[in-house]
Amino acid sequence: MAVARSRFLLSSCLAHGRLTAFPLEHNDFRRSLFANLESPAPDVDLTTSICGLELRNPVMMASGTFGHAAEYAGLVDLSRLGGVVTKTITRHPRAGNPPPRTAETPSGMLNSIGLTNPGLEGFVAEKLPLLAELPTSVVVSIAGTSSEEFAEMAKAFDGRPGVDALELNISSPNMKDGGMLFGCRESSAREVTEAVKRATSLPVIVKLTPNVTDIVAIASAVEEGGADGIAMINTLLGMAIDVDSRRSILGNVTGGLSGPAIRPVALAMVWKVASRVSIPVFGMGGIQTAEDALAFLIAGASAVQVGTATFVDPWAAVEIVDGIADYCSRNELLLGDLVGSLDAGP
Amino acid sequence: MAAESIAPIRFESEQARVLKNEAVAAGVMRMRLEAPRLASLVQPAQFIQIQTDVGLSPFLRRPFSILRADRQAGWFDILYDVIGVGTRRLETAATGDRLDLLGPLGQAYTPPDAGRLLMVAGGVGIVPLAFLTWENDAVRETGKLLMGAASSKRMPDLDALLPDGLRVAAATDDGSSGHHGFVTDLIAENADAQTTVLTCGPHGMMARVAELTAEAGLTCFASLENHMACGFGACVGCTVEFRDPEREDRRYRRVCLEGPVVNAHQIVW
Repeated sequence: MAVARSRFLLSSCLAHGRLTAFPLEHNDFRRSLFANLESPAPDVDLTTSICGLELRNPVMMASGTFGHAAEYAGLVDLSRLGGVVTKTITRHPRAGNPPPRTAETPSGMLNSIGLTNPGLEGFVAEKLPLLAELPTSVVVSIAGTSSEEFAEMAKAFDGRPGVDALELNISSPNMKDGGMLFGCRESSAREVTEAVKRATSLPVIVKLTPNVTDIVAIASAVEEGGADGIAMINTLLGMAIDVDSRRSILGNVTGGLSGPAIRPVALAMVWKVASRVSIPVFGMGGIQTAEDALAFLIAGASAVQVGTATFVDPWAAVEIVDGIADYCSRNELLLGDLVGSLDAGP
Repeated sequence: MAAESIAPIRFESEQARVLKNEAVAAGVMRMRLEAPRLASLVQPAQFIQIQTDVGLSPFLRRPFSILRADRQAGWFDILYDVIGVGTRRLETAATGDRLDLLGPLGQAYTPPDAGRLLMVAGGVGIVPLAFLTWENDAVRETGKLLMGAASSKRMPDLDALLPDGLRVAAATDDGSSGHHGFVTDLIAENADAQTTVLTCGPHGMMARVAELTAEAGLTCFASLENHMACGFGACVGCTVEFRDPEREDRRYRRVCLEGPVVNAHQIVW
């Protein structure tokens, strides 16, 4: 597992006497305003080096749930996060799907946003200059309609200040002309990865869809294609129906399910994939609390991404960082000790 | 194209205490929340997101517009229809209960200086219009509010919601109170060429107000509501379709961030 051993400064921690500042028993994730700013986290070194990214900690904002991050720089202290993944960019601007675009479901939600974005040129001109100033690692998410288009976009970000890595969205259930189509077959997943790797020197993380028969086979294919990391899982294909109108609640009929409802599915898939590939896995799917994030790390994820939880609590990711630090502190563990430490024995 | 100067998105979180939560009409509740920080910040047309339950059901927060705020006393009121799992949960809140809030969200609305403001409300759509009348002296003194409801049972006591002296006319679909018919019937007799119309209510009603004002050549703004996941622009779920888009990716705009008040003649009803 290509994860640098994190150094854990227990002595400094004890000296500061701040070991119990953040109780983990925090499932309702209620929080007083700016609690994260008032109470410093334990002095635990959570820095990690994953597929060429130097992260302050293993907690990132997931694509599509935090805009392009710059607009929230005054809201969330981005220097507390490991990194941010932008909303997916496509070659040409996309208006997105017809409303309604979201539907609440048990312990989660469906979305059929449809990759609304200003297109490659719009993003490079308007958003990219702001990303270079952010005090955290920035991963740009891209999606294309062909391997050639993926490669063209990847090339456009090569050497751009403010871009630390690319995440290939081959897993959106809301893009008819690409998206999940690439992520459902081993051959196309491998081909897209290879094409992008040829076009860029940036680290390439491939985001996988859970809507497949064998996600381990797809993960192995993108590893063979040269991927530096795997992000998983994207949303599960889902649907909700209004029985009075007998219409789908979503304007696009189907959408992607996210939130705690998918967490057990995501966790099992992350464990299976991390056990089989040798590149790092960025785990996600319904992470709301530090305890949730820790489960993904123990299952084998080298880092985690927080997505839908941000909609309910924009500061959730920062609280998760503090919770992980507290856990490491209390258990005298390094981050590297934790990753993949699942005891799967009888 | 130059680098976009993104307006920074700022809002706060506050634990509110329920001071009052009572029915003001059939299926319509008024809740008073003690939240000094947000009470000091909220402006007309802005809204807050309430976590109606700290568990996972309902999973998302619910957006509510502000009816009235007392900045000195540190409270504000919301008005809500009991219509779904979130508002049914909210209906059970008792005095002293704590609720987690985010806000203020959305753009504040400032009416034009010239001309009279005619406000056309349907049901709980009265909320942002009422707040404007409490906050804006000119609107309170020269404006007029038209209020429509299905019946008198569904019509809250307007004297209890609105400041003294505001000119008001009411309509009910069944004629049990005020004008017998739609509130939109009252627009023509209450508008002149300089009138600006501001509407909030059911989709069909606002669409009709937009149509009538377009025909009459009047400026019209609508305060929209929509299902929202986040309420602060991140999910891009609460979009409404605009006509004559400047750019492809601007065809849909977010009610929560670009709104909730929009030019009623620029959107696709």
